[in-house]
Amino acid sequence: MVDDVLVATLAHLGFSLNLFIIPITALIVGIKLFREKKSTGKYNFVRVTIFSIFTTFSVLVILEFLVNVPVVKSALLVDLFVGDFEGLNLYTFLIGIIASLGLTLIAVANRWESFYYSSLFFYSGMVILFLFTGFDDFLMIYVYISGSLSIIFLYLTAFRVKDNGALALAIFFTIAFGSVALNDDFITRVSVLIYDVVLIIYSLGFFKPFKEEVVS
Amino acid sequence: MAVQFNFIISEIIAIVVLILALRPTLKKWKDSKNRMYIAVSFYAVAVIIYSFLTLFSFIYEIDTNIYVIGWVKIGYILGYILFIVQFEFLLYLRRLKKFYTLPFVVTFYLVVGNLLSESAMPFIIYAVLLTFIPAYLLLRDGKRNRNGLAIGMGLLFLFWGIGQSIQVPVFFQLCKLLGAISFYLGTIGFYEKYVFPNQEEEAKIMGTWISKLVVKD
Repeated sequence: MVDDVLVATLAHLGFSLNLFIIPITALIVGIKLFREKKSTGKYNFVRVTIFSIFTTFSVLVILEFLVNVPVVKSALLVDLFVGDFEGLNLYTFLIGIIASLGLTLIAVANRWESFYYSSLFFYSGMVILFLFTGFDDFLMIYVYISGSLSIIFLYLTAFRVKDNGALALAIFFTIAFGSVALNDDFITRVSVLIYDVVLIIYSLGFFKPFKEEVVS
Repeated sequence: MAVQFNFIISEIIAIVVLILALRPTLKKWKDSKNRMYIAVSFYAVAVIIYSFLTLFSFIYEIDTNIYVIGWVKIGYILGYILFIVQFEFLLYLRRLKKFYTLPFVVTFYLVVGNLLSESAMPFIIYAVLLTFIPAYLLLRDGKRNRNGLAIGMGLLFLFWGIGQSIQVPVFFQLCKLLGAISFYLGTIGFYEKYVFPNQEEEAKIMGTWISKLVVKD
């Protein structure tokens, strides 16, 4: 009983915190992106990818909040969102986009030009196949594999080029995907609070474990 | 029997013409070290292999409409391999390096789609897009840059596309043959010589002709 109350409280706190912190992080990354565009005249592809990840994540947390908040809501939204790994729904669709963008980020950071859009192509194909045939058996495997690869390569990239941003994202992805993979209510709720803290530190520019970065 | 004989003969001629076309492209690559010639040669080899396989399956009476697994036919597999090469060639030509994995991803999902559904529509749509779009782009670029090789490739794609669209075997064979000949003419510089004559030379001839008229008057 106490456990249930604790999990419910943590969940409520997590949803509320997410609702502010993740969109604000997206906004900060967006401002940096457009400021850089203004000064250099072109978009930084790494920043565009990070901005896309946080924007998608913002949409996810806003929808999650709307679905879970105890007010009257559209049945269509609840049916579309589902909020669990039960085939392809709005929730898994958005998680799939984030996982694909994670792989895109790796390709971009390592300048593997031929693989820049590969994960997005693969994921789009999966969605199109689902729309025409209802087949979504690849989704779970894809999210787990792409999530794991993103995390491994983000750590490798972060330590190789001593990049604080990549390391922060690696920690963020580890906590976010770890909680999805473990699928335990209590762990998920605590994880949400932890990655919110990581995001606050990162977006405010205080996350600097590497004093001298090889690539800024 | 006559139809079968015609099919074998036209297929053999197409193969021979394509092999003949390989020689000048490889020679041009050796001289200029331009990787585009290697790409063209690679595509020509893929078409030759495809034609060989079609010929063998015809001679040994292998039905290419047999389902290998699910609703995947042997004919589809051959088509997919050729389309991967064709798509990659187009991407290479347009220098779209970021899209290099797209042909493999599309083919993967088309095969999965074939495993799940009997419908041939996705394959047909893919084939039409991959035939007529490259044909248009190659012919446009070839005309703009006065490049005979591009015109030859464009005509090869165009004839193949028309032949595949009109599902009459004799007509398809004829189109294949015309495509191979057009490609060969492109590799030997026929279009540069006769379709796009040198403008300066043309102006000189024109000038001489006009001056002759003036002198006579």
